[in-house]
Amino acid sequence: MIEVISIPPLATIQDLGRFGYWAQGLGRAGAMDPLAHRVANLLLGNDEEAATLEIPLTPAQFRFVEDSNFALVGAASKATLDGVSLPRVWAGNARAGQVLTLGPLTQGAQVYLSLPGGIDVPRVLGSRSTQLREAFGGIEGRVLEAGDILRPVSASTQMRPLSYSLPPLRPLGGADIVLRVLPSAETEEFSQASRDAFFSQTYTITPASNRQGYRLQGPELTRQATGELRSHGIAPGIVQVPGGGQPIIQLADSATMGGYPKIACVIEPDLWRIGQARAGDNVRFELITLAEARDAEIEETALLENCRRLLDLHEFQKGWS
Amino acid sequence: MPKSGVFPIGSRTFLYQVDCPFDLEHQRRFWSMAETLGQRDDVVEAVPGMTNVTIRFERVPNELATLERDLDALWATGDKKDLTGKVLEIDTTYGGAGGPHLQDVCSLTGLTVDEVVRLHCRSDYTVYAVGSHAGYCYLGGLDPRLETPRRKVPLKTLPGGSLSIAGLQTGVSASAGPSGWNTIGSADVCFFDPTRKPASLLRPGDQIRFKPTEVIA
Amino acid sequence: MYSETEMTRLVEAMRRTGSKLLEVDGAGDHLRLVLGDAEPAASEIAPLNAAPKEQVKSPGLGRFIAVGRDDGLEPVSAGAAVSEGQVLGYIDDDGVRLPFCAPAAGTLTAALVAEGQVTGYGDVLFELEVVQ
Repeated sequence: MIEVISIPPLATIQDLGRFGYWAQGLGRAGAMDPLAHRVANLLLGNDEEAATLEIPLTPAQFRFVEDSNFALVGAASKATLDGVSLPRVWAGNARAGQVLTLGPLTQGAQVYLSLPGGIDVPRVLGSRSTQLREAFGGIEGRVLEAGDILRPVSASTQMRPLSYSLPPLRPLGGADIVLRVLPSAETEEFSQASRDAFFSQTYTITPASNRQGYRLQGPELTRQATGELRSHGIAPGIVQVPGGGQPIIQLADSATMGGYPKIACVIEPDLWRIGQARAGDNVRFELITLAEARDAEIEETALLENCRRLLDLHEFQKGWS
Repeated sequence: MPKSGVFPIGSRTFLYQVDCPFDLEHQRRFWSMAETLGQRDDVVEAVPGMTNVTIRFERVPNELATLERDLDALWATGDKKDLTGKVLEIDTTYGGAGGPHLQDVCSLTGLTVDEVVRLHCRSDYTVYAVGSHAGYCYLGGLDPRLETPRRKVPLKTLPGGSLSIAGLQTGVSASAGPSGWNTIGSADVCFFDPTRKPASLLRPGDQIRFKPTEVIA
Repeated sequence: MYSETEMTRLVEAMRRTGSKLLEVDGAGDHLRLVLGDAEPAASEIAPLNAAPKEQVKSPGLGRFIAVGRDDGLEPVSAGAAVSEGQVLGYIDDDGVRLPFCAPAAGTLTAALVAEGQVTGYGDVLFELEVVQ
C-alpha cells in the first residue's frame, strides 16, 4: 500500500483500455505506453490487464505504508527509494516507511508504477482505466492528488529484484522517433510535395500535446480536395490534418468520431513510441504495407511471450538462493 | 462525396465508406452492416458513423482486397435496420446563459428567436450515430432554414447538455467539452451514465423531440 | 539435488546464453554441468589480502550488463564509492535482467568480468572494500 505524498495533477490509473463501448461514444482510454504498462505488470507476476499508475509529470513522492513489492517501468526518472537510485525498469521490495521519489523524466514521457496483483480500484464498464472527460474509472474518474492511497490487489512476498531491457525508443544512432504508418482515406488527396515531406521529414512534438492527442509541427501539408468529410469512427494512432496544415495524432483519450482529413495512421505496435515522446522530440513517419504491419504485430506478440516465458523460468530459479 | 472503399484508421481498425447520398435510407444500411459485422469472431467492435462504418479487428487483417470484397458484398445485400420506435422527449431551455449564440443564429438566418425555436423543435430528429464523446448523438433532420456555419473561434468548454447547431447538424453534448458549433440552448438530460444499463441513453435508430420549456430572448 | 525438469531447464538456459560450463553449490551438494567439448575455465578470483573485502556475486546465469547503458543510472567505475543497496549491474537472459546490488557501502574494485560475458550463479563480479 502506497500513500501519495505529492504529485502534479496529471497522473491517472490506467489498464489496457476499455473496449466494447465505442458504439456508445466512449473512448478506449488506457495506457499511453501499453508496453511499459505490461512489463510493469509482468515483473510482478500480474495479469497484463492489471491497473497501474501512469505518471506523465514529476516530481512525485510516494510513501510505502507497509512492506510491499512494486515495479517502476518507463522513462528514466532519477527514481530513488530512501535515497538509493533505481534504474528505469525495476521491480523489487520496499519496507514500510520508505519513500519513493521520482525526479525529472528523461528518455521518455511516462513512468508506470504497479503493485502486486495491480492497483485495486473498481472495474467500471469492464476496465479500471480512468475516463477523464466522463469522470469515472480509476480513482473517482480523476487525476491523482496528495493523500490518495494506492492499494494492491494481492499480498506482497519477498522478491528478488528484477529488470528488463525495453526496446529502444529510437533506432540505434538515430535522433528521430520512427513511427510506422499505413496510408489512410485521404492520403492521395494531399499534394505530392506534402506526401513526400510527410513520409520523410521530421515533425516536432509541440507542447500542445496530451492524452487526447499530440499536435505536431513541421512541413505544412496541403490537401488538394475540398469539402467537409462525413464523421466516422476514429482510433488512437490516426493522423489527421485540420485546416492549418499541421498534423495531429489522436491518442488514448481522443473523441471516438472525427471528420478531419486523414493522411496516415500509426500502427498499433508503435503507439507506445508516441506515448513516450516528449514535447520537443522529433518524429518521422515511415510508410509500410499491411503485410509489414502484420509482421510488426507478430513480432510484438513474440516479444511479450518471450518476456513472460523467461520470467516464469526465473520464478523457478528463485529457489536456488 | 466520399470515396468508396476500405481504408486503414489503424493497423487493426478500418473505415468502410460508400459514395452514396447522405440520408436516412443509406444510414439505415450502415446500421445493419455495423450490427452484422459486430457479430463476427474476428471483430472487436463495429461503429456506424455518418453513412460509413468503422471496424476494429482482433488482429491485423491478412489482405485488404479480401476485406473490401467482404464488405462490398455485405453492402450489396441492401439490408436496412429500422428505426427503433423510441422517441425521447427532452425539456429544453432556449437562449439565456445556456444558449449564448441564439442571437447569432438569428442574425445568420434572418429569423426571429421565436421562429428559430419553432423550426428547431417542430420535427423529430433521428439519432444517426453515437460518438465523438460518450452518449453524444449525431442527429439528422434539422430544418435547412436553420443552416449556419461553424464558429471561427470554438468555445473552449461548454457544459454537458448544451444544444448546438452547425451546418445541417444539431446535437446535445453529453458532458463538458469544447465546441465549434452555435449553442442555442440547454437540455436537462443525462445521455451517459456508467452505472446505467446500457450506459448510453440513446442509440442509432432512436429519435429525439425537443420540448421548449423556456425561451429567453 | 535437482529434478529432471529442473536439469532440462538449466541446460536450456546454458544453451541460450552460450555457456558451456555451470557449477552450482547446493546445501551439501555440488553440481557441475558441462556442455559439449568444453574445457573447464579457470575461475577468476582476486587474491586474498588483508583489507576487508566483500564479494559481489552473480545472482544467476546470464550475460553481465554494466549499469549506465540505457537504464537511467550513472555508470559505476572502479574506485567509485558505492552505497549499500546501490545497483551495480545486471545479469541478462535474453532481455530479462537480474540486478545485483552492493551488499554494503564501500569502494568498488574493477569489474572482474567483461561486459557481455556469461556468468554463472555465484561467480564473483566485483569486490568491495567495505567502509568501516
